[in-house]
Amino acid sequence: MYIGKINRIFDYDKWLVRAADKEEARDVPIGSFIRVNDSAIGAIVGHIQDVPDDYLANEITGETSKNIFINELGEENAFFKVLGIGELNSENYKIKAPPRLKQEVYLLEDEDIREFHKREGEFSFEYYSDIIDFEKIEPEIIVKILDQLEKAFRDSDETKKLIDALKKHTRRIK
Amino acid sequence: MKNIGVVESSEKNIVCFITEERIARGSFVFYNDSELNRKILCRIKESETIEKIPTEFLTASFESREAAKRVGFDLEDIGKFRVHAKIVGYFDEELNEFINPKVSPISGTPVFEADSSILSQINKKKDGYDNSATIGKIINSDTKVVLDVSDIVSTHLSVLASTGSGKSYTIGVLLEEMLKAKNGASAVVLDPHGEYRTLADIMDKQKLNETGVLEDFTYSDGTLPRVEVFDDEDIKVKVNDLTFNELVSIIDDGNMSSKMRYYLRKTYNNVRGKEFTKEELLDEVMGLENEEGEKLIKSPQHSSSIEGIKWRYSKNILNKKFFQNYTKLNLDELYQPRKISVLDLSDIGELDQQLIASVLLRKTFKARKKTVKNQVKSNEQGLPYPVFTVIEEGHRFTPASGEAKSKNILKKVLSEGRKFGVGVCLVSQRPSKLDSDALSQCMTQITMRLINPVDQNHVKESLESFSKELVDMLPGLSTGEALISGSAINTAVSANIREKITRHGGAGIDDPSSLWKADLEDEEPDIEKTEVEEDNQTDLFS
Ligand SMILES: Nc1ncnc2c1ncn2[C@@H]1O[C@H](COP(=O)(O)OP(=O)(O)OP(=O)(O)O)[C@@H](O)[C@H]1O
Ligand SMILES: [Mg+2]
Repeated sequence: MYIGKINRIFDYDKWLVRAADKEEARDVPIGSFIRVNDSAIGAIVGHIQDVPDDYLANEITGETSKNIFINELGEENAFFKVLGIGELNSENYKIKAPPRLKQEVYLLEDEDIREFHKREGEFSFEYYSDIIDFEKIEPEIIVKILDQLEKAFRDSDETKKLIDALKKHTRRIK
Repeated sequence: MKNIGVVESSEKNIVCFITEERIARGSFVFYNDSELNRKILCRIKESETIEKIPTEFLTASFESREAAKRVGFDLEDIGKFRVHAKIVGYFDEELNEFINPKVSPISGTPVFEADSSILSQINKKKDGYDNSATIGKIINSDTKVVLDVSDIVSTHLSVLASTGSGKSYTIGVLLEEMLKAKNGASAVVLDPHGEYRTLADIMDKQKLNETGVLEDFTYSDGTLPRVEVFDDEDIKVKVNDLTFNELVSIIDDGNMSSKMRYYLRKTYNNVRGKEFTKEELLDEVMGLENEEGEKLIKSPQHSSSIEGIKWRYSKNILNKKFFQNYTKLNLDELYQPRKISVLDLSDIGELDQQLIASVLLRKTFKARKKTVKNQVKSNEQGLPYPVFTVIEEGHRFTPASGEAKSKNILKKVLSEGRKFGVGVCLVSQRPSKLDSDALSQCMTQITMRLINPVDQNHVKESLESFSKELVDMLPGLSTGEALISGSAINTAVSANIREKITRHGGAGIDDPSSLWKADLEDEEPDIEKTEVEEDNQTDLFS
């Protein structure tokens, strides 16, 4: 499912995606896996909504109504914060180069999630230790990624057990 | 020289290094001190893993290592250990001891497995030389552990361990070594359980030959060692050998009056220093009646005192076979070079065992003292060579609390014996019940598995050389493994005691059920047995 376009690159593995549909964006769970075009894979690790700066400035100087609901104004933007994880059909979980701006971003289908997390026919979540060791995201977000994984692997008991162990372990780190 | 790790840090006397090897506690490693240009020996204290697989993955529902790897845990460090080792030092050939380097190694210093060239520095003596006893090997190595027999004989030995850990076995090995041609020792074993008789195997030329050790035991004149076993028929106390206090302790049933003591003292003084029989001593008592005739008639109290002595003496000494006018246990019989005398005390009561020990040690000490000081008179017995006495169940002979007839003389021998070559080996499975002064006089220690914390503490407190590090090793030792420390060796070392040449007499009961059911055998044939027999038969006829 198409969800938007690369809007900003903060770092080789930290990207911002502008949601195509700000209403639908609310329904995309944190932890969901995405792909950029047909190569880079990432996970949604945050959700941002804002109002364009100049618009907001008007509101503030107007002083009268500080508690205006952004939604009501119909001028807000929705963004996804994405953590780059790897590339499809690559040996290891590494980002060689960040994606280009304006590239299209899609939610990854369950089947592709499973494919991406397979190494030598076995479930693999090797990039986990990188995320933890370099403290790339908060443990609670990792748990959300694991929730999505669990969903994708709902038919494999063995993998589910492993994911469960990993979730417990992650919670303990906190 | 095998490099096995690298120093991480060091503090005080402890070096901490990282290795992928599983190194046993008590084994040795070394590093090079480049400034001193010396190899510094270190004894392994403890070792711990650096990393662990997360607890959540330690479950039987999947293969933990594999699973942890799949979710990206770095398993490289999981196979690594952080090892703490105590610095022993470098060996100074001139001083003949290990010297602590006083400076610590820096991080990154390579650590090596100690090879035999450095391990053999632990021994004061060389294998096979005079006054050496090779009783086993340093654990996890092929290097022999060689004790210095001169130290053992002059400054005593303790052998302590929980029951069944191998004390008697180890002493058997030591005695074998002491009998070898290189030593030719003279020793006596006080054997309350009758488990040392099997040492007599050493006189079996054929057996020695079969085991390939005949040469080791053949003296320059072609003879073999001798082992003589004395049992209760032979073990008697000669009344003449008793001191006054011993005499009192034997006949006093707890209500001997001071008058009786007075008269007994008088009697004893009359015969003191002379040869007398037990009957003659009684005659002396009766003689008092004449001597003190008038006084006795006036005072019935006195006369009943003498009656009291007569009665007690007859009951406790005169009519007891244990007390005789002769004894086979003469020093020149017991202590001969190239001979071990085993006193099988298993049929003798505990108090009488103490008495035997007391008399024996006193006579030995006196004879050695006079010999060394050149004071042996023409009618006296000297003992012209050092002797070694093994005392099993040492806590019975010198208990921590309470009295034992042998306690005083044993403590005297332990504290002064070194000057005169009267060596003692104290053995006990309950070190905490052993008098701590006595224990502290044993300058060499063979300590085997010791589980009871009270005993461990007692050992630590009685022996200054026994650090916590060593005590911590005791519960982890297996049967036949010993921690050897003290003066007969250059530094404390864990060893596997070698196999005995002679049979071991102290084994427990292996197969009680076969003994309980022995009489059933005819009536109810054992199924397994019949099968074996049938097999044999088919074998025979095929
Ligand atoms: N070095 C050894 N090699 C092989 N077996 C050994 C060794 N040491 C001990 N054993 C075995 O362990 C058993 C117990 O040893 P031993 O009789 O010496 O124990 P102990 O400490 O004297 O016990 P106790 O306190 O009951 O007298 C022996 O029967 C023997 O088989
Ligand atoms: Mg024993």
